[in-house]
Amino acid sequence: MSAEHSVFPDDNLPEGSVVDGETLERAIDETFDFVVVGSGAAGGTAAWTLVQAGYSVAIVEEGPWVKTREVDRRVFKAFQRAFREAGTQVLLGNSIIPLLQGRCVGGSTLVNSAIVWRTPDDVFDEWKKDWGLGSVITEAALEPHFAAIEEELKVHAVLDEALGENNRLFVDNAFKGGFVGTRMRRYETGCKGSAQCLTGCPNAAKQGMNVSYIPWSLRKGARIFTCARVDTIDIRGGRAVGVTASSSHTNPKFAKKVPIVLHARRGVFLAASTIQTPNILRRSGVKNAHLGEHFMAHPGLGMPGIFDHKVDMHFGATQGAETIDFRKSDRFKLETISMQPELAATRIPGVGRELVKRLTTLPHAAIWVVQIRAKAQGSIRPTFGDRDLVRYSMAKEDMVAARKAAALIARLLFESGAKEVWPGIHGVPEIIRSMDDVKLIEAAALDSKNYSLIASHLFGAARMAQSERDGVVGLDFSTHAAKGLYVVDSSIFPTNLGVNPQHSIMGLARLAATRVAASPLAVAAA
Amino acid sequence: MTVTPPPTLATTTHGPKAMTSIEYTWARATLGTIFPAAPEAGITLGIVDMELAVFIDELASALPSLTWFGLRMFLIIIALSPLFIVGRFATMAGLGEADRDRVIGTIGHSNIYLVRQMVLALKATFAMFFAGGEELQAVCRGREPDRSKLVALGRKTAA
Ligand SMILES: Cc1cc2nc3c(=O)[nH]c(=O)nc-3n(C[C@H](O)[C@H](O)[C@H](O)COP(=O)(O)OP(=O)(O)OC[C@H]3O[C@@H](n4cnc5c(N)ncnc54)[C@H](O)[C@@H]3O)c2cc1C
Ligand code: SF4
Repeated sequence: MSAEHSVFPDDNLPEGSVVDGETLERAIDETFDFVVVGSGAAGGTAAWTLVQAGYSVAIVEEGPWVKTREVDRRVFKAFQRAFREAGTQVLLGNSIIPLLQGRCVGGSTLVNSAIVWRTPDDVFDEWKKDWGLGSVITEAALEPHFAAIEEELKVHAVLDEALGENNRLFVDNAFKGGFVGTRMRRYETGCKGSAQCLTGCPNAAKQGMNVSYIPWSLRKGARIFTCARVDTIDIRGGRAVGVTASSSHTNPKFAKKVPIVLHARRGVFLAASTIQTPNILRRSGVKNAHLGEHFMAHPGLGMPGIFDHKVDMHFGATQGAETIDFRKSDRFKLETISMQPELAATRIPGVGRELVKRLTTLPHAAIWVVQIRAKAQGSIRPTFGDRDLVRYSMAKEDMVAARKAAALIARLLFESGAKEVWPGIHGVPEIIRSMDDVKLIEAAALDSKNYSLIASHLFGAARMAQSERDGVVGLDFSTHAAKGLYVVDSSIFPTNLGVNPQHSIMGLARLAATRVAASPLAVAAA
Repeated sequence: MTVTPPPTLATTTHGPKAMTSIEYTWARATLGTIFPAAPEAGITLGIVDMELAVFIDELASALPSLTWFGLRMFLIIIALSPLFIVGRFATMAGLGEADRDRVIGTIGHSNIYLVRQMVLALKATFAMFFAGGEELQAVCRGREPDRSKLVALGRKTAA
């Protein structure tokens, strides 16, 4: 059935359930049990959990709602509408690392690849041993939450009909590199393998928050304020009592800033992501030595290999194959990714006719990437124009991991039959043609400036710890500074994970919301 | 050596202009060197044959002011760089194809990080426009280009 004739979960929402800040003319002042800030993985999950427990919930989202039937395959259009700063944010340090985040209903789940990983055992152990979180965040405590989310969001391994050649090559050839390649598990139902997850799913197959928990919550009585930016959390008498927001716009330059005040009788859930949450807390008057510190990431690096036969990246699950065999030993995870030509161009060597000719060989390209569980830590501060300044430099051991993974990818591409590999590392030839040339990658300098890194998995900067001396958020998910101000995104993670973070974020958000719903604070005084 | 005549401004009338007319000329010279036509590979439209000025204006509006300012500076610096790279007292627009290629190649491969980042940033940003064009999309999807879309992109000779 064509998109025109399908009814998508984000169609026909209850009247009045969506208040669009972009067209808002009059100020708003309303009261709910809970206000949830952000509609991404964390916010969507918290909202749905609270709604199911019978509470009235307002969700406040800075970006617009990009409906399934409006999804545009053109990358620039998608970046303009759905990505923060139109996809031009960066981590600033020794080198400049592009940073991608969704800014729309569904947050980064609208533009991500829907890869699912439960929190690994060793992370639970580390959080217990080094961070004292063992009384709250345990495998046993999270198990029912992971299971429920997996069932609701139809988690399963990529099916044959959506696998595509890019993913198949990786799965079938991984053994030649001495490791196990597996099909990814993803949140999706009816994936058509359109390889378009990064610009939004045109089929509503990917179970982002925009087509699952958010519309489900609205159908059960919640309301969402889109294009509404939370300026501060209102804290009175040491307790969160609501939020002060103002209307925004798809393009923030055109925001009219109509006031939106939402009172929260029982509490505020902050789920604005690792990057935005710390500065919202700062603007709200929360003070803590760890706020904005200990920011962590999984910087990534991609490499195309050119095959004689057609790979046709435009067909297949955007990301569908992976290995975690190197996660513990070398702190990285290998994945496949299919990129539209507009995005792949940055991975193609050269300029001018050479570049354009190479662009036309993309149908023969497979692209494989690494995500590094980096040890580096950075910081987040506010900067001009209400933006966030993220300072971050890769540590030397992170670059060792990056280089090793790059060589491994190149090797595996050749083992799989590639005739050329384009390493994209300054100082290494733009094109290498044999296994022998992989030595050149192994000998590359460890300077992050020479590598084309990118970051989309983000952690820390408002970490959880038992005492205020060690962290911003307590074991009850409430900030030490204010009761009823629950932080449920990955800013509370004391470490990064080494696996894709969405499932851990959702599991924790569900655990937090379930606990708060079961024993909420008393109704706040008006 | 052939000297390409200074390119003209985009033909389409549209909203507010993001740059001065000389900057559009420089942008066409620089970006046209990064993304030229390659008829031998089936790409008959270079970025200058597409509605580049319209895209530039849309980009300027979409990006945070500081980011747009940075890109604009990169375009200006590269346009004025030939003196230092090919020793010619000219802007990019006043150079022939071979010299333009040399300038962009030298900057793009510079051992100075911030220098080569200029070309990389322009490549990444304008690929969103160029590689979104009908011809490349058709090649990458293994189908024939839709001729009506080529005309819509504004190739002056295609009508
Ligand atoms: C391109 C890409 C691919 C990825 N692929 C995967 C993957 O396959 N699997 C995986 O596990 N992870 C993946 N990730 C990471 C994953 O999507 C994120 O870790 C996860 O979505 C983060 O959840 P979150 O709720 O903290 O933030 P987000 O999902 O980013 O949501 C935060 C929301 O809060 C809103 N917000 C921020 N500030 C304000 C404010 N002041 N007022 C109101 N609203 C505000 C934002 O606009 C945004 O919509 C990917 C990320 C990207 C960008
Ligand atoms: S690959 Fe599947 S889930 Fe991703 S956009 Fe295409 S149909 Fe949707």
